[in-house]
Amino acid sequence: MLRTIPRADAMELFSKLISLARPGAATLAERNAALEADAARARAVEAALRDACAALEARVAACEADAARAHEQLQQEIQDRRRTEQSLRYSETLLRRLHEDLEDHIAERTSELTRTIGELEAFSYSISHDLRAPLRAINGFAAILRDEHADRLAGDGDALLMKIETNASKMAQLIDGLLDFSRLARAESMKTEIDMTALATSVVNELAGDEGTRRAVVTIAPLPRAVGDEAMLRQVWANLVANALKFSAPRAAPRIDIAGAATDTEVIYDVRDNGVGFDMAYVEKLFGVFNRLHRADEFPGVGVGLALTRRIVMRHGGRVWAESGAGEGATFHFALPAPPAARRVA
Amino acid sequence: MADDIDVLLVEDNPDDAEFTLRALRKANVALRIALVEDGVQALEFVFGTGSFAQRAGAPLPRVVLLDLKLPKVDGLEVLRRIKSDGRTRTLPIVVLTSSRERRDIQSCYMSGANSYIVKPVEYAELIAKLGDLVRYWLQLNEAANG
Repeated sequence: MLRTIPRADAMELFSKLISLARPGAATLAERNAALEADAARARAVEAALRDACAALEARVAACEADAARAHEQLQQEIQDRRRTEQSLRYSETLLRRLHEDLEDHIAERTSELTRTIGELEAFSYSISHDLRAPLRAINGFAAILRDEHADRLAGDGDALLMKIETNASKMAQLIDGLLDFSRLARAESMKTEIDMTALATSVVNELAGDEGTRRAVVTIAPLPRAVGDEAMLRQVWANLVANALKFSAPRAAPRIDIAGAATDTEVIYDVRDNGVGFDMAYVEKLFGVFNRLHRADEFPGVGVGLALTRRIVMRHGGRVWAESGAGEGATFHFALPAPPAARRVA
Repeated sequence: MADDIDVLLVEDNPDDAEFTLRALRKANVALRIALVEDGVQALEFVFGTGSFAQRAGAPLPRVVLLDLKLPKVDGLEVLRRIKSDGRTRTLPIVVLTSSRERRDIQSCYMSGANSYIVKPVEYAELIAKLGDLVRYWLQLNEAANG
């Protein structure tokens, strides 16, 4: 490691050396020797000074090189940052554009939906108003004919009139069913937490008073709570329980068991009956509008109940399914998304 | 001077008009009933103007049975005009329509309807409903203009 000597110190040292040499130099040889020695020292000092200077220059050069490197690095970093900012800005623009596209798309779909709902409303309005008018006329004139011209109805005239009236009533029921169905599509749902045990019990008590259902034994196990629209879910229970009562009525001892279970993701409810059941080959037709698996004279109904049930359950984000063997009773299940965990108490 | 009228029936469908008239007569054969077939006629009848100018100053009908879906001026507008006029505001109006749409029911009551009845598909039920209606509005109820 080289020691650097500051220039002022070096000069002082030099003059000190000279003054030291002179007084003691008696002879020429001694003075020459002394001068030689002085010169040698001076050369040594000069060499030391040169070395120090070189070292200094080397250090300065090294520092400059460091600074240049740092500068270069900084430039690189600035450039990188600039590039990053640019790509960020680009991404932002892209995102904004995507967002705008999405909003346009949503607005488009919303207006499409609004239009469809409007059409549906006009459709159901026309059903409730225009399709009923001719039915009222058919029923009304048949009734007047019976009231005022009964004496002139020959043979099976009265029975034929009855058929006209029965069919008009049936059509009125079909229209009501369709209306219920389309009304559901427009209804706003109001979701609350529901005690399903209480709801199922209330539905069973309501339906148990109906004719032909008094004989049935209905059991209700504790059911997990659900979150949903209470009026709609009441309709689901009513449809499933009424179906179970209807199809088990021919049995000597009709029996209906209602149970439920909760998994991590769903709450599942079952309505099991010991009725006439259905052939699993037709299970897909079960939930379609106006689809029936039995003849109308075997079991009453227009075939809207299960379609309505499925629609309600699907609107809640759930699913509905059934299983049976013909003559072996049937089980209908529906599952709804599990409510928040803290509330899921049976 | 025109005769006093018990029931003004506003109905454009001739079949429905016939059923309603028959059902009203079954409830009370002596009822004095007038039939008009669109909203303009209904307003002219009530206010004694236009084709019913001869009724100007005549007593109001005791009750109006009003269909909603009418040609020219619809039933809701007829209802609004009658209920927003000081001379006719107390006239009882019973809406008799085939619509059971919540929207229709609500706008009728908001516009001052006194009652709302859905036309039944069954004729026997119509007779029963109109029988109740005649008993309530023409016998039981005390009218504002006596």
